[in-house]
Amino acid sequence: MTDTSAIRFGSKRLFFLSGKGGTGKTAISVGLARALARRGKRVLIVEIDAPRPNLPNYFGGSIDAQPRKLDKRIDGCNIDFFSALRSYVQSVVPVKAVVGLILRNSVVKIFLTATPGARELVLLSRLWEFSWDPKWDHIIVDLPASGHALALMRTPTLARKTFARGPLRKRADAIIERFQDPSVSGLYFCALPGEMPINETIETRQMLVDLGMPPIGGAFLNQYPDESFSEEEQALLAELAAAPDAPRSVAAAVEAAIETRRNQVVADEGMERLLQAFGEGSVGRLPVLPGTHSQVADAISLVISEWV
Amino acid sequence: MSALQREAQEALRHAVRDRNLVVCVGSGGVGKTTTAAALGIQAAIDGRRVIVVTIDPAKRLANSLGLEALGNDQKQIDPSKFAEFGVECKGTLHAMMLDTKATFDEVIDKVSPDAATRDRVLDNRIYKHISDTLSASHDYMASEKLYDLWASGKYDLIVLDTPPMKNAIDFLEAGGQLARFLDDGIIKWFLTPHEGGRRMGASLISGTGTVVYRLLGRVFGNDFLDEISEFFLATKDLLEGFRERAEKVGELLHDHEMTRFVVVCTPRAVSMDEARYFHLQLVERAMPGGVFIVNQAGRYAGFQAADDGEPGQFLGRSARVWIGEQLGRKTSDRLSSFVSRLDAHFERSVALDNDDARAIEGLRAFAGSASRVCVVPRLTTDVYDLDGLLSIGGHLFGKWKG
Repeated sequence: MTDTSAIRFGSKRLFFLSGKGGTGKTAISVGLARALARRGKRVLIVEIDAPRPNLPNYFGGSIDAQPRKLDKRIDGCNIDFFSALRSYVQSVVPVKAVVGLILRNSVVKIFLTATPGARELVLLSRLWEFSWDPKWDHIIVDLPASGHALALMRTPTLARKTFARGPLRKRADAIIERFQDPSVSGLYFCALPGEMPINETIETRQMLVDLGMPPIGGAFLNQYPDESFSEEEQALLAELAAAPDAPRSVAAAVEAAIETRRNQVVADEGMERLLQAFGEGSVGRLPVLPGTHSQVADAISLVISEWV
Repeated sequence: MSALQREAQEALRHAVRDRNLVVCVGSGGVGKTTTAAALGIQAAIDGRRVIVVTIDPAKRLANSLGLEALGNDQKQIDPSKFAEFGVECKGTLHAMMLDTKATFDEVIDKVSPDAATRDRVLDNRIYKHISDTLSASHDYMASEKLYDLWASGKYDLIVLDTPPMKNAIDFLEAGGQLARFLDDGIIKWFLTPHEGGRRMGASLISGTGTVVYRLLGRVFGNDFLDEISEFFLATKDLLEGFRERAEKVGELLHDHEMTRFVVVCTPRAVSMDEARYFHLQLVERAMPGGVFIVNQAGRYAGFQAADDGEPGQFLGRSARVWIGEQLGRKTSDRLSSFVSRLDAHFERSVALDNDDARAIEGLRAFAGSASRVCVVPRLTTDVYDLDGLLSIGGHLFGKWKG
């Protein structure tokens, strides 16, 4: 693995993983967790308010709002709104009976469910609490698909603009201070090769840069077609493709190889553009991997192990 | 082509020929926009007045249809574009991009009883936040715009490319969510004069309300409550209009005669999971679903290893002899390593594509015999022009071009 296709992670504690659906965000989250756990680190993988959490696909069983053990040195949870709300209210109002009164009140429930930003801020607040827990060396946040992730990350900044004072404002300030510290946290994009996905990744990166939080850590270029044919072999492929009456197997094999080559050219252009946007040492290349969820994550973890 | 594929194509033809609304749903990156365009184009060629409403069109896709850029207004695709590709378009094709904020402003304008009310809402900070950034707004506005276009009577068919969803329910229930948010009871509660009559519009003074208000102030801050109260005050006259429209959109989405949901996905596990989940949501709500489009399916699934080679080899003896005849005169020593690499690469391609085929089989089994799954093979190039969209149409509808 050459230098330009690996990510230097440094000693960050919080890894935010962002990307569109289908970019392999959860597989990479699990792969990163496995790589860190292999180095003896204790890791928590967090999903945020996922209607159907992805982690059980990789570890079996189920996950809950409270972190539970998924594997050796790997815990996981799915922060849900009401548990996050309970935790937030408890931190502001320490009286148990009052906490219950607030949480049970139907007006409060509807008010918070539908009020802009409150939901997101409360969810982030729970993550912020986890970020201080000494139980874990690293927390990997498998963010929702990019549009929603951006909306989520924008909430504390919006709250800061909207509220001059008060407990929500204080919590928003604390979250920003913690999450914007580049020695603590970094956001990593998961992208697929292809002009459109790369464009979107670079555009979203810029939006997060403008937002100022969390600091951009880098990008994973997933499903990079890594089986390459030399220039000489490509010439042979072209010659075979042009030859008439090829046996069916040869025609298909040659077509597949040429397609891979074409994809590779696209992927190389994508890699080049990601490197320009994110900088050297900030873009990691992951190959196309067949297999089950867990097999793919394991294979990814072996690649990432070289980087952590 | 399998009978199952033909049945699925038949179902898609039926949808774009006989329904008034086709809603494409699915997670991001599955080719939803391209699929929506391909569906709309076929219906337009066939003589219907069609509009494709998209969220985030690829710029090159818009350009290839002769549109500089898509905005919140409806633009017609020049019929000569079709002629360029030797196709006659008997109907019309429009396209527009959904701009959440602009659509929301339009709605407020429509339901406001007067200009003063409208301006008060448009200027409210909470409103600005909701209309611009809240993800539920995107889903809600998609359904809102849909109602608008449908009610205009200008189109026989609306093809809606929905926002990528974290949660499929968001779109199906977006109108309901907003209606609940603006629920009368809550508004009255906020308009009650808590904290010594600071709020205007005082009519009911309730003890519990005051306690809760104080607690809310303590937990979330008074500024926050003030903002919310102002927002409710500003929107209280709009409630009825919102509710009515939300109800009508809901009716339209549930109408089995007029509407068809098409779940778009790829054979990748994440996308398949989403597709299944969305299907279940539709079934649960008795909404008109049951049609799937699987894009980017592998082309080499089921390819058998050669019977004249080593076990597992795809390039058998005769294939290698043929390659030798073609290339042998130039290369000798490196030829066998090249053929091995070619064989290994193809073996991997077949393995990946077999994963796809298994996933599609799994989806068919899951969806049941009443559902239809149409498979579109992975294309060798990105689709950016009408020609490409027409060739996708070939896979979606068979050879049918009207």
